[in-house]
Amino acid sequence: MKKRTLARKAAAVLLGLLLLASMAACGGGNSQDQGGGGSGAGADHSGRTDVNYGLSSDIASLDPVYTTDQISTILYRQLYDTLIVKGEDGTWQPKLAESWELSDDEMVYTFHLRQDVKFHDGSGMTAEDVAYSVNRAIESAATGASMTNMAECAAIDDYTVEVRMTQPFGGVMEILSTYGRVSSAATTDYESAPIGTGPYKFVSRNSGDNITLEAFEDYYLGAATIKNLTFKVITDPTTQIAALQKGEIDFLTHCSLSAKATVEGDKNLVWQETLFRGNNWLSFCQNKPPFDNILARKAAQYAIDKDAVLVGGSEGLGATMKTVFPSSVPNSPEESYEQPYGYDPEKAKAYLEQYKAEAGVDTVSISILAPDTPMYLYPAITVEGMLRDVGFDVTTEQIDRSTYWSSVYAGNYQLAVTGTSWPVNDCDGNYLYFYSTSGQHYFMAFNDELDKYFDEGRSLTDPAQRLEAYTRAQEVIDEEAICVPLLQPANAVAYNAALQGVDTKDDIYSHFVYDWSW
Amino acid sequence: MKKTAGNAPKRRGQFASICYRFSRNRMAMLGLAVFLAVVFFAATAPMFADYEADAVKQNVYAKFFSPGQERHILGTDMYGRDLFARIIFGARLSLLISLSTVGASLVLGCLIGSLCAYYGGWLDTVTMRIVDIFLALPMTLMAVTVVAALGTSTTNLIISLTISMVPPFVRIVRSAVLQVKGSDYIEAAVAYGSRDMRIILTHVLPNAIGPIIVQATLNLASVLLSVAALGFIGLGVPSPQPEWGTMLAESKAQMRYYPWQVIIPGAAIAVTVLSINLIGDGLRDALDPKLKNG
Repeated sequence: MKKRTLARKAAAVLLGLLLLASMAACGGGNSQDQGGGGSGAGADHSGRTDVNYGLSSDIASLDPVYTTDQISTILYRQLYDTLIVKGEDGTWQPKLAESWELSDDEMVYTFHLRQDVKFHDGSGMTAEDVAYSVNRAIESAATGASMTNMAECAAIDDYTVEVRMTQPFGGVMEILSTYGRVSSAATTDYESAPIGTGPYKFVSRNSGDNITLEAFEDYYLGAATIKNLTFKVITDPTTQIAALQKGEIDFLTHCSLSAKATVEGDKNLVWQETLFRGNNWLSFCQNKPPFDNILARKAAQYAIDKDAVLVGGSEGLGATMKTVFPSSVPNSPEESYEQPYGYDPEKAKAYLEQYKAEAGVDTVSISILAPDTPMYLYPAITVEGMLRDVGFDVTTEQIDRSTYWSSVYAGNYQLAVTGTSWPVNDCDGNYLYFYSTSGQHYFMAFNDELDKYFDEGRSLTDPAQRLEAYTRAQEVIDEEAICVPLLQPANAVAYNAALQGVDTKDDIYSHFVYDWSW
Repeated sequence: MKKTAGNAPKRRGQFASICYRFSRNRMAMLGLAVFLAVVFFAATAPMFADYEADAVKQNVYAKFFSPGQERHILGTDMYGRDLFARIIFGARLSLLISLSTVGASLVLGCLIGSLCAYYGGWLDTVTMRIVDIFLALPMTLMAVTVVAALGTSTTNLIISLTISMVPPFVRIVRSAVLQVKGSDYIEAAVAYGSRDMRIILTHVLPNAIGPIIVQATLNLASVLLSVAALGFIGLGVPSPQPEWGTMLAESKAQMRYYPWQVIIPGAAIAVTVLSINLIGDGLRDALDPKLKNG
């Protein structure tokens, strides 16, 4: 009896060691099985008409105005078209609209539609459908707040629509090129039977696992070369790369940045990096100590080494930021701005001492709130190390994503790395966070001067004047040390080298499978 | 005196004979040696590394060093913190949390369990039904709920684990006490006029301690695992405190590229839990009256 248990225990220990050894072997051995031409990524792909597109998480919905979620946006792009599209030179190019004009008072945009566009159900697209779709976006809870100053969209005749404004706004074309996705007014269920005009139509969806689309033969620009498009949801970063190397997926979006060396070392794969259409900043909540005091905020400002945040928070891939407006957004002051703060731990310590004296405290204990999302978590922990170096007593509390955002929006935090993405490429996007009365003003800064400049930026249409307004806004943000602009992280995609026609310049939401072929 | 091993054993005191039986169990002794080594590193961690300068101080430019690179025995993690320092300070934290959890639940469990068994009646019935309800909930789920409600901190972690650890102790203690309650020496003590509390503390508990100790040791291992599991799902101790489960979670995404980042904390958890389980098994054998002097 005793002997047997002993033998069993020994066997268990052995098995455990074997498991460890095999794990190590898996980790180290992946370079050997790359480059084999027989199967997977190295196989001959000519003649293929299907693409398996790897998504890092499931989509939220197929309804074009349900969410601004990044993954869903990738899918919307294949299913739905917009009236206009931005050309490579930055000018507006026709898509579903052939031409357009703007009234002299800048209150009415008139769009003349193409007459040869068909919906996935075979019916022709009319002005009714466009007006219906744009009005849905204006009324939507997710996109409504971004449809700045838009009152309604009305059909004038069968192929003409008017977008009417409550006040002029400079970013209308940007908004329509993003949220003006056209779906049929006859749609009964957006989740099981979405009807768009895009190059792909919906076939089936297996929630949490995959979404199948097929080429729409009557697409107004001609049917796509890739006939079958399957989106596969793979959430684990390690599995994603394995699936790509084995050829289970041909294209992977939101590729983990630490996979760079592995993907680049595989001659069958292409690694492509672009700046994320978004940026993050370190937010101070001003409704409680210590960050109700500008001295503490300034101490933190000087404590942050942005270059190191880039290395710790984004694998050194991406760009550090001087302002809260990324340079890819039109009228952004990012390029021309002179930032008043630099990395200076001595100054940070001096401000912290000053704060301690003023507040009459010996230690300044703070907690950074962070979600489990790497984009916010990694910079948060890096920042924690820097604040600790200058004398703050810092911990990072990691909580789940939804609790994190609800705590932040409720002003229930001290310090957090937050940020924004720019589905609508216009500086007015930050109005949502920095304007005192907006729903998501989580800084609790309530600064009238800042409000004034955001109002100006919204009402002006001249690009030079808007640049001026947003520069002033950033100056107020720095004067009051409302937040520390950190990074514009990199986003990466990895795909099969045999895949042709993949957009190499724009960000990862612009990928349009219509352009691809094997 | 002729050597007659087994047939006419030397007379030893109870404690000595338990120690003797335990020391004859090689696996248990191996477990004890490993566990003592872990305890040694945990206790003397400041002699090997500095908490502020090695375990929590970041240097993002020195991240993902391999074991042995530039005086980092086990390499560095994704923020450039020394892995060896984090492992030994992590051992401190893991042992502190598990020992205080087991200690607290042992005290509470002994108190509640022995009172229930000794007095019986409605107190026993009500308490045991409450214990049944608690036992119906999985320990980790229970701990997750409490931590989620109270927030992540070392104290909250200990509280939540203790809450889920007390009911099994109550049950073990109660059954152990019930077994000795009817013994003659207890009746003698009652007849002698000892107060109840004195009887429970000096006569009942010492005689029922065997299974309680075994249970406590085995629970130590499961608490250690629970701490790691909670840390792994992000409900452990807040950063920058090093904790094995949290370290595992932090490096999970790097598993493919820097496997030792996962192997090192994983091995620390596995080895420690295994050694405690071996000790527990050994203790159970040593305390088993059927194997007396075996």
